[in-house]
Amino acid sequence: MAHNQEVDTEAMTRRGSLAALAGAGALALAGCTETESDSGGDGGSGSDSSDSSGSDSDSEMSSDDALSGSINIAGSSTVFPLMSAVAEEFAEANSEVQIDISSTGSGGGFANFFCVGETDFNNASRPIKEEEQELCAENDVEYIELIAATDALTVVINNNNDFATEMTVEELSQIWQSDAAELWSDVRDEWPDEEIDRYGAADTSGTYDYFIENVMGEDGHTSDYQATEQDNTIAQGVSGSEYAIGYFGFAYYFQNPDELTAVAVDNGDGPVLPSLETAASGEYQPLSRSLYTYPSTSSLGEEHVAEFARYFVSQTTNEDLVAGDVGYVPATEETQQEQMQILEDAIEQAQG
Amino acid sequence: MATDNTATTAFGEVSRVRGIVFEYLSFGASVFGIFALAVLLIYVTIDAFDLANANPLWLLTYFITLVVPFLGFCLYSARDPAVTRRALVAAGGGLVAIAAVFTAIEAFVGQIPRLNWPLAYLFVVIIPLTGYLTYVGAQGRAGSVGFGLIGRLLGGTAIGLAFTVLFLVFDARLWFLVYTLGVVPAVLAYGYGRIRSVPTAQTAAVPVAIGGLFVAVFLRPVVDTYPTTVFIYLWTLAVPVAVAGGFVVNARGSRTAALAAAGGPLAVATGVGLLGQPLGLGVGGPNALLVVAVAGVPTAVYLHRVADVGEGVTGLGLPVLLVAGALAGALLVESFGLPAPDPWLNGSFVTEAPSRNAREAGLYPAIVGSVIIIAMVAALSFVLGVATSVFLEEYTADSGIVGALTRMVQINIANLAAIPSVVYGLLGLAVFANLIGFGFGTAVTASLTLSLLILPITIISAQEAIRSVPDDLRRGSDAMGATRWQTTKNVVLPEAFPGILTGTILALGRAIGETAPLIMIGAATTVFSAPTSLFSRFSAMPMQIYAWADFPQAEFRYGVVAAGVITLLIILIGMNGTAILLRNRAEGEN
Amino acid sequence: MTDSIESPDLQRRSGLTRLKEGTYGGFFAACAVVTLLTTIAIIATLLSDAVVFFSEVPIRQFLTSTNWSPNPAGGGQAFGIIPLVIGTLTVTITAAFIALPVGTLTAIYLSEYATPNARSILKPLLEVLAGIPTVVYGYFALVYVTPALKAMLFPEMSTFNALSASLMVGIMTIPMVSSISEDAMSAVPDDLRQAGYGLGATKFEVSTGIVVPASISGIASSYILAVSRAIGETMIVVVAMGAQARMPPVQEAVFGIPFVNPADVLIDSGMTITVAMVQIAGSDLTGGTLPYDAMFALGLTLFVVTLVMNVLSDIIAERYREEY
Repeated sequence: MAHNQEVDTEAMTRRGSLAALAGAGALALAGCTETESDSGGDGGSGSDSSDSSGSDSDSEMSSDDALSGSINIAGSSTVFPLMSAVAEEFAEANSEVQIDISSTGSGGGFANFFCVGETDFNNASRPIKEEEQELCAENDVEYIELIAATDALTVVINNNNDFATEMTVEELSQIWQSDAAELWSDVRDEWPDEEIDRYGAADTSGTYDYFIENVMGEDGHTSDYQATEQDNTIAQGVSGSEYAIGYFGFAYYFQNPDELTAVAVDNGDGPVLPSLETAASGEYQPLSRSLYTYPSTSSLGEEHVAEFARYFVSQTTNEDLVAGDVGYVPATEETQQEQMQILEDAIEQAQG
Repeated sequence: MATDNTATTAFGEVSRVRGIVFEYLSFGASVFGIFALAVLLIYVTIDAFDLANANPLWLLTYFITLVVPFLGFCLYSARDPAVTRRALVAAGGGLVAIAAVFTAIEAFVGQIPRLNWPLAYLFVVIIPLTGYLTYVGAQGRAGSVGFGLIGRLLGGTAIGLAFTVLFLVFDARLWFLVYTLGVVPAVLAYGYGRIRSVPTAQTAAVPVAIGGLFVAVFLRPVVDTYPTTVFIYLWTLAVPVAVAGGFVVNARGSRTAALAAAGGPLAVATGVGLLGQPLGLGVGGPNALLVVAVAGVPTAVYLHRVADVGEGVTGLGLPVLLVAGALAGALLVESFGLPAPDPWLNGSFVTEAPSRNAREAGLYPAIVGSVIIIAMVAALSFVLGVATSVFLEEYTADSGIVGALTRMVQINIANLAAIPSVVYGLLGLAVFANLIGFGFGTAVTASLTLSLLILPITIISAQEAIRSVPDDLRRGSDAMGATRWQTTKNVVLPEAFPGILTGTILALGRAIGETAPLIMIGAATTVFSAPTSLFSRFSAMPMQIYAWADFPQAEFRYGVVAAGVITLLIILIGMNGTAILLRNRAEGEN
Repeated sequence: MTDSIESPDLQRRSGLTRLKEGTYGGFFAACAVVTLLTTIAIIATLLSDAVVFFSEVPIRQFLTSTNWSPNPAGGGQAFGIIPLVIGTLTVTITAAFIALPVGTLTAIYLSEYATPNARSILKPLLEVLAGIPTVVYGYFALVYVTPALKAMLFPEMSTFNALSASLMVGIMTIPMVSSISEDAMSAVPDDLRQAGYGLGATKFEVSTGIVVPASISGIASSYILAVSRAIGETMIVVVAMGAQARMPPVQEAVFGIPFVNPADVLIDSGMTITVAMVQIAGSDLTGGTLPYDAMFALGLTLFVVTLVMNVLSDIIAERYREEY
């Protein structure tokens, strides 16, 4: 109840003519044109919308004491748990900042939300694509790229499987390419004559894309596998079948290391097991990937967005949160400082 | 038996066995779905309230302090020895039967997961019995008074809370201006025209209201610091509610009682609103004022009526009985140190924001989002639905443009009702979010999409309600020289109103649970604070449930989501229950 | 009530009254037009993006290809609706196996056997089945039904599977069948029943031999509506059935006759048309591209199918209705 009232009273001062017009049902149409021009310009944040008519002077006053405004975030479902963990902490400390996060997928987030000026941040499990850059440029949306965390894609086998604990990238590719090996013995002669039982990411996910690009390349992905978006389904499948293999993000394996056996991947320099250390140092190749978030530069011009971005970058080294709660690999101090520098430059530029 | 008969008589009784088997089969079929759903609901309730870990003594304590007195009250109200006997037999026999069956199953078949016999007894015997006795008890004087009182208290509180939620996104000062400049003059004009029978004044009400609306929007930037929220709530909502309550009591003949019934709750509400927080009561402020006024006035009016009629006054003790029972139970549990279950669905679940940590996760922003959407959907679909059905039923013609239009609309509505909701989501995405530019996942986009989605259902049920108005009434009105609009307004709509309202509420129940269209229009997966404007991104209850169901942790699957499901179902049952009550009352009056 | 309008103008109505009448009439007509606009908007929306899609992917290929894989990565992009149709049919048929017989029997019980008291309790309870939000059914299927089935019947069942989703869809559509069928059965005049009894028929014979045949058109149209509802059902399958578009595993029986074991399909995950739409809406694929347009093509398919079924049900109900 108390929380409710705080929001209410503060909301009073910030609700500008926009909401006023919307309130009058009959004039809803007039209200919407107002939002359009607004959100196109500054990324649709709540605190600025009242400026359009210049009626509310108190919103500026209140921003001196406490941050207020809204932050809209969309994008990758992979980055979603990390972003919502950070946002949850931030929202607790800054109750006047409204944060909403949609798990739309990296591409959907760029195309439908970010590059048309609807959101302030877009999360992505891969770098922004060229056509997305063009779309952003068309709509004059500028952005910077921040590394949110590192995910070590983990290939797992059943705990009873004692032969395939180390594999080369080439062997992984044989198992997963579109013209996939049927039996384990097709991959390496000394392995048993048993059928390979495959569990992997659904073909609409970024994990699928990444796996293809970095393991199979031109050879594509087999369609003879159990595809799912959910890590625990893969884990269940692999732990239930002795000759199964699967791959997923680092999180599940990190939080349940005893359920499954991770495969040490050999990229030419000897087998490397996925771990916080090997992923952060870049030893675990080629399966460690960076996760990104893209703040729009114009949004960084607003204090509450800038402050959230700073907080986010500062949290990327927080091992409890990034690894413990979410299961990704935290950034190194070095990376964090680099990211912070990029961010501060952008903020300075935006706030002039 | 049957074969014997075939051999001897071969007349009429041949297919008796077949007939009996068929009857039971068809009966089994009709309860099959209900039974399946009931089992699932029992499990989700157990999960949401952590009842699997409830100590039997804990259950027993509350059973004795809360349930038994309540059942006693119902029996007292029913005053029917047969019912009392039946209830005792069911409670006692059920206990023995459940315990026996349970022991047998556990001995021969195996453990039933997350269920023990006290819980089975609770769900299989006590809850249906409570439902039945509530129904029977409500027929008696004391019961109807008691439930009427509780209904007004709960309903008033729910409506008051809904208002406070709406003011999170609707500008209270604009509402103040619209109310002062538009609604009040319009009502005055209409009332004046009515009393003095000046038709021009009545007709002027609508233009006056619209004019006031425009002036209000125009003046909004000027009104910046004053009036305060407390004053706005008092003037625009609490006072009108109190005045209306006063009129109702006054109509029953007592001016002093009217003053008391209206003034009492108003004074309390104002006191709580203004002084609550300064005095350190823990509650207070504008929201408390609103809730107290909206719940208090109908309660006071009801109390007056009960006192006036003088029957079933003992029923007024029911709320006291329940509160006392709950307190006594809590006291006993506390003093004996009984381990209490740790329910997922508790106070903080409905007042906190979502969290990655299952124990801290809450549904508050999603509840607010749902309430706001539903309010807008209700307004939109009610107006559109009633207007369309009036057009189809009252303004119809057999030929000409109107006739063609009527037929097209009629066929079209049936087809619209069959279109999958996910396709409506695409419509919202392409038209409201993209083309018109209301934005992805905003409350406006969602409300418009869902309004169109339930529009066919609203129209069809409103049509039925209008059609059930006897034609004689219309003819009578026509014979008095009334125009078509006057007949519709004065005769048809008042008669059909309860039916229309029931249909609309049932349709809204559909809207509140819809998820697929929300996914398509890009509603937010997680929001950490309540929305502040109609154009901010928001989440809704089913959306949040969908997001949580995807979480891998078992605490989310079996705890948080279950609590979310129960919250959603409680709101749904509340809405549908209201609809059914309205329908029954309307049927009772006819 | 249509012909009651032309009442003589006894009061001489002023221009103001006329204006008022016209305004209200116009307002009501405008609201009625909104429903027409909705249909037009839906068709326009679906067509405009579907046309773009079909210019890239020929309709023939869309309707006949057996591979659904909207992701262009690895060169495996394919838009064949067949696996989705198979997924949809799996759910629809399984659900129909529950909803149609149970719904029909329920209707017979309610209209022929039930006492008024039992009816007044059963009917609202059945309506509750249709009123539960579908996402809740999906959650039930995923969290309670699947583990139960896995423990008791199919140890090999996948976490996401067609069977538990279909069971829930079936339960949800029971009231659709039962309420429309019951209306049709109640409309059978009592004379027919009495005539049956007069000829010495039992209640069972009257119910199955007279009432059901007499109301067959209503029953059939209720079946079609229920099936159409199952086809368009989204959240139950999204939550509980998973998202894997694939062709059923074909086995060879004796004499090399290929067949599909329904159990293989049911206990495994699958993808319906609706799931594919939701999945594209929340995927990592780039929006505004071919997969995005594919979503509208799928929507158009659903729209056409449900429209055809609805019209069909209307025709059956109208044409074959027994007039008494």
